[in-house]
Amino acid sequence: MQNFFRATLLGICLLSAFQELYAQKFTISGYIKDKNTGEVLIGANIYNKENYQGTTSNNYGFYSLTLPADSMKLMFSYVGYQSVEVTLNLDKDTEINIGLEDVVALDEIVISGREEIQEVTQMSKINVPIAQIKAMPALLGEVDVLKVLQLLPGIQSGTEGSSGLYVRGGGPDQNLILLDGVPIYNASHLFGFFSVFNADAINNVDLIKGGFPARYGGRLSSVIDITMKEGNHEKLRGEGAIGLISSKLTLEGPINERTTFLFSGRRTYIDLLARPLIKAATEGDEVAGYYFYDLNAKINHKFSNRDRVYLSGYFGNDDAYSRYKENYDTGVEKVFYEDEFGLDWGNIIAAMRWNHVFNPKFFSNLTLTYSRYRFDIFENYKEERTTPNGVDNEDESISYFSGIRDFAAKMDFEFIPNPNHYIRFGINGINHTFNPGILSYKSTLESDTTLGSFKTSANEFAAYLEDDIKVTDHLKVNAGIHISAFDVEDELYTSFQPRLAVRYLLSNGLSIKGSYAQMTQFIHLLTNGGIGLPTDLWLPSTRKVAPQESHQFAFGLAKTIKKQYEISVEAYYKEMDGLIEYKEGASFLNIDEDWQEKVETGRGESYGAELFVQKKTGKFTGWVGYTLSWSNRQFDNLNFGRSFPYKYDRRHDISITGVYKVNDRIDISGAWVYGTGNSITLPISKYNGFRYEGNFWFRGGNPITYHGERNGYRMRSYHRLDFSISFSKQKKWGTRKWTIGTYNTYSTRNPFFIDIGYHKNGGKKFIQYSLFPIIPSISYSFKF
Amino acid sequence: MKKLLVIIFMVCWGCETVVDPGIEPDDASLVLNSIINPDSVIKVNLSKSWYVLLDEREQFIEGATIDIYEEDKYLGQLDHDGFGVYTNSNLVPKKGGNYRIEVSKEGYEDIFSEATIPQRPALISKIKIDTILSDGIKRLKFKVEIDDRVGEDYYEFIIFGYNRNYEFNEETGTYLLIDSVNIPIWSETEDLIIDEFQREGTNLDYVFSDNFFEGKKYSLSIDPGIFIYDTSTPQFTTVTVVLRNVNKDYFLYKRSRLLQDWVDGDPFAEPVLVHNNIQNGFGIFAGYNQTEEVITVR
Repeated sequence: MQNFFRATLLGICLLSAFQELYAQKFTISGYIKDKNTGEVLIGANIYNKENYQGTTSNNYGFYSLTLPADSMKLMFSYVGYQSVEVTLNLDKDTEINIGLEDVVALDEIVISGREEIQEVTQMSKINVPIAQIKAMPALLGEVDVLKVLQLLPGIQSGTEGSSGLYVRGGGPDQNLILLDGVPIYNASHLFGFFSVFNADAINNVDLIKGGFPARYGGRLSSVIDITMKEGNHEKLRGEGAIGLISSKLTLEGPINERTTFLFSGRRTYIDLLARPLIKAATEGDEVAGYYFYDLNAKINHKFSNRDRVYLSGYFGNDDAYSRYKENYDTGVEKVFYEDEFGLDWGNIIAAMRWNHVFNPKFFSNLTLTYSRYRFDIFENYKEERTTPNGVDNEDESISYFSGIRDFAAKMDFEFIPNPNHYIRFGINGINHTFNPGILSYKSTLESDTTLGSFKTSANEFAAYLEDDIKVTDHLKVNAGIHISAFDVEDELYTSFQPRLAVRYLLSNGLSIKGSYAQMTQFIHLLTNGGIGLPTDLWLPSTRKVAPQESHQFAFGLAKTIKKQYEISVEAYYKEMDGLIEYKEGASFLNIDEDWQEKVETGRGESYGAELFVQKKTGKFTGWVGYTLSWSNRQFDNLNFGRSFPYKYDRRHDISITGVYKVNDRIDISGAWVYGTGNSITLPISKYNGFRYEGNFWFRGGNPITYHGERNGYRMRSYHRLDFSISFSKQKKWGTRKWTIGTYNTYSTRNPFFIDIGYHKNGGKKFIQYSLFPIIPSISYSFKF
Repeated sequence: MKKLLVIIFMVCWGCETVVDPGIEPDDASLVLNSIINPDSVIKVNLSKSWYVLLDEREQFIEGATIDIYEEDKYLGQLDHDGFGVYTNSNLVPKKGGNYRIEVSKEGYEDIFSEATIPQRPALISKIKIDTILSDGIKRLKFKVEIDDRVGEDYYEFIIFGYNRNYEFNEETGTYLLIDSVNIPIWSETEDLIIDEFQREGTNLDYVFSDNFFEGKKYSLSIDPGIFIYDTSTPQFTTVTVVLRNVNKDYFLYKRSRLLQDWVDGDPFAEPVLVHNNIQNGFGIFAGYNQTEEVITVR
């Protein structure tokens, strides 16, 4: 198989290279930006109007198109922007940096948008315009990028309200979530109810769930590539919002002609609102609360037309706490004690990227990154007793922390010799440090103790080569290889991962696509309970726990109808190996046990079909998505070795979303979702076991609980309608907008978990807990 | 950790609602518990399962027909002896024998199972006894050397003793022995071949496999709750160390059952499915072959 891919790739490259030798050609290159803000446009379309030969801009807005010498009309287009036509006589290499103007009344203008879905070789990729994401209804009015992605076919949410993504039957750890090229390990705030991405700071979101190009690696199930804005090049701009639970502010603008900045901050204030109430209720003895904040910052500097540097950072933290203190005097002694309990978690990421254009056909990017995720559960106790004989102090502190820290370097190259080839290659290396759960106990009365699994370092390396090849006008191929290695505990794991995607365009505009991708993942997430707790542990592959691997085949059809409706149907089959799960009975609370002793490894498979109809332009935009899927797991030591449904195996998943622009002042949006209920393990019956009494066995002991099959019970289906309406008004200083919305508009009692509780008369009953009834929200936002 | 849960639910500001998820009670199934060995007659306890929301411990089944087969040859039937216990004084299993049990009772699905008694008993090559001082009181500590044979083996370790109860006679000023009951003795261990959940606290019995000492000798360390308070009123005069060579079904059942008990009440623990080798029903039909060593306590 490996030789076949190598030979195919080499053959196609050589064949195409010979074809190009005989014509004199020149290269048009440059950057495509928003004319008003200077923000780069990713995935903009550039093509020769005569023969439709073209290309698209990359993640930095750079494009390169090599064409035979001739006079031509070049079209530059992007969704939501007015297309620009440039007439030129191509007789030398030419640089065209172009600014496109966004349009308000989209329906009045013919928009070509990005390269149409049937044109691209890449399948299983979805781009949702950030404006559309921001227009969608949101829980408590807080726009959430990941929650919008959950509405796409093939992507399932976890439990109610959480931001976890389960892509084509994969786990939440199998998503490579990149913010400006840096992996984010925990993308959740507020126990998973909100994601860490502040939509005001984001320029572009791409999601790939199959047919992965060779440039991506390290995760099995998806790539979510999020690009932050660069900052306005023209003037100081700002936008912000004041909501029920949080407020945010984004400022961006030029520092000088060559440098721009962006700064964005967000903080919740549930704690500030609740603090006086809690204090009053406890007569000032207790304080408790929760908040999160995040900050995004970015500075870009253009050294020349050939060199640009981007510095970006993200700092986010969640803090849940309770503090209690008390003073009393018994007459014999004065006692003061204080107890503080908290849970802290957060990410820090930093990236430096340097774009260099060697020549109009050859683009490079160097990325240096730092990423750290850490959580800490702690309790501090202090007691002071004052008697006539002196003062006795007792201090205790206990802390359980875990995390992961990465230093990484990546070098990517893009070589576009002609419109028939788009060659990418690169290398990268990551130094990981894992802290897989350490308990630290300190006391003035006892000796200090440290328990748990200790730090592990590992180095991960990867190299890739891919080419997007136009073989004929009808046939395009994206072929590549991704090679990776992982060095841990004197063990070296290596992986050779072929990738292939093929697109054949029929004469009626319908394209047939197929893809195969092998992926390897060297890190694992050990997760407990599925409610998005920050206590989930990131862990390396080790000698005992092998890397995860997957093979995914996908087949699909794609077509654009009336230039407005993108329709795709895809079927997929994915096999996964090296998955980990907690052993039966294991819990992250057993902190004195090494994590490797608490896990089982096994296999998984998922398969299904997806339908996606998307309308990105016009007064009405939105999509309909439907997924029919199966996802199973098989672990030799779980469920007696029998295959069982994955927790988020969801037979049917439907989402219908829409944003309607009534006029310049009013927007209405709605989203309806339906999903088959999650699979859970539920106690069904009880029976007597046996125990010893005397020297013979006997009926007795605790009754045994029979759970049926693992994940054998299906909770009720989930459905919800969200709605919002916003009123904008142009003011002298800018634009203000009021948004009123409802989450779960018809207040369905959707299942969160099921437990056994008691009737008033004392009898037991199953109780289904639901989280959110209808949640109304109102927010005020502004832009200047 | 409860505080963590409190914070989580505080964040959700108590917006839970309660509805009936529509889970219907399953029909009751027959439950068979029988551990056979070559040293005693076959004895079976028969009961029925109950819906998880009910609290019905006493579920004896009377009037069932229980047939026993040895190597596919019919051996005989068991008779009800009261409280769901069935036995037959003529049926004593033999070492290495394979037994099949079939149970039928009107109103229930027939159940059946098979069990093999290990051919050879477990081997104890040596027992070393140390006396240690625990909070000023003498206590015995055992090191039991197991002579493991080549091949997959599973063990159960128990210490039995006749617990002696005394009554103080005020007239004579002495203690009189009033009864003596043979019971399994609680013990502790920190031996790493024992699962962590069995090492926690005290236990009556331990199950383990020979994974870590396949075909070799291994000394198992056990601290039984045998205290020597006063030589005139000993709690135990002798104890019996029992090492059983158990079959795999027994090991899986016992281990999973202990684990289910251990995680009871932990909201973060994964549910434990208890091993079951009764077709169409619940319980365990398994066998063992044991070795005993009597130790004098002094």
